[in-house]
Amino acid sequence: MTQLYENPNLASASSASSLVKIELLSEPWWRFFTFSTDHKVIGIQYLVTTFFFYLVGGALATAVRAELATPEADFLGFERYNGAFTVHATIMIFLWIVPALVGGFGNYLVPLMIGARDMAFPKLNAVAFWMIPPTGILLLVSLLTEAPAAGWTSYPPLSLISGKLGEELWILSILLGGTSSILAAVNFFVTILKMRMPGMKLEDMPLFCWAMLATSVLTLIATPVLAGALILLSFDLLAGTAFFNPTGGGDPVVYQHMFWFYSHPAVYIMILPVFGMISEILPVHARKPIFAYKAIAYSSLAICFLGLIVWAHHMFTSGTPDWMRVFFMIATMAIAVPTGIKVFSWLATLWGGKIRFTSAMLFGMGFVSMFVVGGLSGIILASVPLDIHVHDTYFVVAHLHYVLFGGSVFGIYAGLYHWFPKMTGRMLNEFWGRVHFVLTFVGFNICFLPMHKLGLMGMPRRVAQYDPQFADLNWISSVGAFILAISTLPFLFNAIYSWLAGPKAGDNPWEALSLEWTTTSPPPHQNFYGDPILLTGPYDYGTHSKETLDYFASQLKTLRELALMDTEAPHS
Amino acid sequence: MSALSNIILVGIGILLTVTSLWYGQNHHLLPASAANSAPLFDSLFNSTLTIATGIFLIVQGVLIYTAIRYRKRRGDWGDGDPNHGNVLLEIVWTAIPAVIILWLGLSSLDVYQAINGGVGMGGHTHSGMAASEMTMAMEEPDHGAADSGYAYTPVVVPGKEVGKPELVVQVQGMQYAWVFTYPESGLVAGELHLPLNKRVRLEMTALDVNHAFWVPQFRLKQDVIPGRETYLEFVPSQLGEYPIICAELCGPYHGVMAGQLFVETPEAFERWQQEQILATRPDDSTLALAPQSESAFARAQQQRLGIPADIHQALQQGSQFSG
Ligand code: HEM
Ligand SMILES: [Cu+2]
Ligand SMILES: [Cu+2]
Repeated sequence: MTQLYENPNLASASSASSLVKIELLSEPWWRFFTFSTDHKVIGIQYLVTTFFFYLVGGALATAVRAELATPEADFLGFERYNGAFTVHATIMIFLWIVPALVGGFGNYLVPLMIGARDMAFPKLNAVAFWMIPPTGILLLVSLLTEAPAAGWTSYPPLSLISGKLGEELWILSILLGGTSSILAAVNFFVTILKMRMPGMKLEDMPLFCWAMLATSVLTLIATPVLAGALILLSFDLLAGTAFFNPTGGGDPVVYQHMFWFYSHPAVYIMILPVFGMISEILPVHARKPIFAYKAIAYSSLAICFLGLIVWAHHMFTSGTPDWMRVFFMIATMAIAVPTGIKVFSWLATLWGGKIRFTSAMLFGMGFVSMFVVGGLSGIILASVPLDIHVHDTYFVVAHLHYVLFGGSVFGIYAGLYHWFPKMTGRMLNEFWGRVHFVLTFVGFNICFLPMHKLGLMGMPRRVAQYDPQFADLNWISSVGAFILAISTLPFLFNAIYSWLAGPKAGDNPWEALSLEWTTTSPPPHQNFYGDPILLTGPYDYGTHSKETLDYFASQLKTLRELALMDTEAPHS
Repeated sequence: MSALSNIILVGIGILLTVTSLWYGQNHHLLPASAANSAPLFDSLFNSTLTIATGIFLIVQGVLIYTAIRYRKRRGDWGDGDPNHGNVLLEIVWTAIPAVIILWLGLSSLDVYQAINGGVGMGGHTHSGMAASEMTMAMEEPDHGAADSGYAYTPVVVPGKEVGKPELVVQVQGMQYAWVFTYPESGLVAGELHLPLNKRVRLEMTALDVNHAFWVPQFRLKQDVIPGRETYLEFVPSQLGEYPIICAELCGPYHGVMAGQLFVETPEAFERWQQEQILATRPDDSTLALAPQSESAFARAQQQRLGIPADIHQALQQGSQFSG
């Protein structure tokens, strides 16, 4: 691109300036515990906090699978079992996947990728983050006092009679988390539309930014409806109103509509950012341009639109009128088309590459492989007559874990391995990364593949005790869950050790081309030294010679030093 | 492309098709079917699974192939081929899924109509409840009591009517039991007995929280909702005993809220009905299981109603666990 050569600073700089050696001040560790408004600090705050909750949610999942290892309810017991799976699901969705993706990766990456110094509203950003710890604390308190036990869907009338305290804590927690989401979404929406560096058009943006744009729109439209539903549910619970309570003339099905009006889009809030990250990660490690950039970008928007009009596919057995079932079936199936476009484009991106099997790439390819399984079971669920049999069975549990664990969590891990060097300035250990991948991949499939059959054969979900005919498959599944539990350990220790003492990463360890890799690792407070410069498109692999790229890198370095000298010795 | 690679490609294609077709028929993922409409479900499921298997194999195959064929070779730090799009390819992989989806959508519609015979499997709120006007406007006229005046107004596509139900059973779900009332004889029972090959209509409601009536062998499921009546219609086609499973979370003992369904010859069914009526006469079993306003835990329920013996048993089963 031409901008580099037009830069007046560079033109006047002599090569002598590269003798100036300036040490970067690394910022102190405790800033992560402050009300920082730096999007990078906030992003890492989100990631670390949510990973903590992931461990809590994972511990609960392990307890749930321990209960299900045998047919009798002999580990947690009936009451505690319902509390365990309710809090497990709530944590995984509202305190891990959504905030880790949107708050964590979104915050860290979007400004860097579009060449901005920060988010549009940095204070609002910090406020949104600091709502997450109380969200989690409320939920954990409920776990210790009287756990909510009506499932993460919390359908009335059950949610109205299974413990006021736990249910109300659950509602407050989600309301807080939802508010945080809305604030974050406003911020992303404005940042992406208004804060791009001069010269970067929407269609020059990395695909992750497109995904975040679509995600923000979904959040802004859908989350307020959830908040409305939960406030009404609160009234029913505490004030004895009858919005949803049939004994007073309320309609419990209306709650289901409101809940899914948010929660179906929510599944796209939990996957679109991952789609975006995968579209960044695959090209870098396959050394190929992303295949069909525009198709991937616009399919995110198509998914965003369709995702808003399919919610009742969760209610095919709720006494939903026929015309609605048919409408929602067709709309749901239509989503498979843009989703398919993405999957095939990723495959084509890999085709003809020179694939480097880094841990990030393993999880990235693992994502494609596992997500497809979830997509295919989704198609089965979308068909009304087929869903009538499998709705609310272990088949749905299998489906949602293939998309949320095999999809979102694999994607998050891919992202962590890929951007950890940028965030911390240090490399993760690749050997332990591979161990982590193999354990996760194997454990995951052992745990969740058998659930498809369990559901089809007749095992309903959300049960502590089940028919002994299902004992064998459940036992296998529990073994898989324990492997999964263990699989987190290599990652955890790898991350902690590498953050403290891993080898230095340098600016661009993966030889990637998007903008975040043109600055230091970690980037300085204002992200770029001087103005950010677009040297190449984000996906120009194979189009520039090694010499050109080296030349770009050295020029960047010179510019950086000039900028630093400017700030050191202002206008002598 | 050389002739050899063409041959290999065709070979892979055939293998893929054969494998998918075979798996679609031999998956052993479903229990034996026992209702008239279940084979329709099974054949739709099998064809969908065939296609899904094909797509699964293609995607995983391509992934494995690229992982091997396009792995980075030792010492090669260069970039891959800079190709970044191919309009024809993109059109193909947009169009093929679209066609598959169209097929699946249409066949699902077909099967759905055939299964419920154009009768809404849905339900409506009890008249007098807030939202009833709207829902009812879109559904068939109120069914009212168990008289023969059912009006079939298929919402989807008119003209696919089936026979009138020969037996109506009222189903009530409560924490943690099912109660079945046979309006013609006034019989109330804790097990569901049905005659073979007769069209049955279940009129269902819940006394406390949501439940769902599911018989895996029938491939049918319908939520049972307090304040609403929901329906299922089907024709049992195999003699035998089947589980009735509650498929909607209804409380801690949701997992043990199971009922029994017996499909019997019409004669055996009659005999059973007579026996039950004799056995329960002293209690006058036409008692009304009126919806309770508060959550009806099994034990409370049991005391409030003088319930005949076998319901007693069913309920006790439920309350055993809560005790
Ligand atoms: C091809 C794309 C997809 C289709 C056609 C699809 C379809 C469906 C349908 C119809 C259901 C309702 C099943 C039932 O309750 O009977 C469902 C459930 C679910 N799906 Fe998907 N889905 C797709 C992708 C996804 C993705 C990408 C996610 C999340 C990342 C997701 C997460 C879930 C969850 C969490 C549930 C269960 C909700 C619950 O009842 O607790 N799905 N899906
Ligand atoms: Cu959905
Ligand atoms: Cu239940």
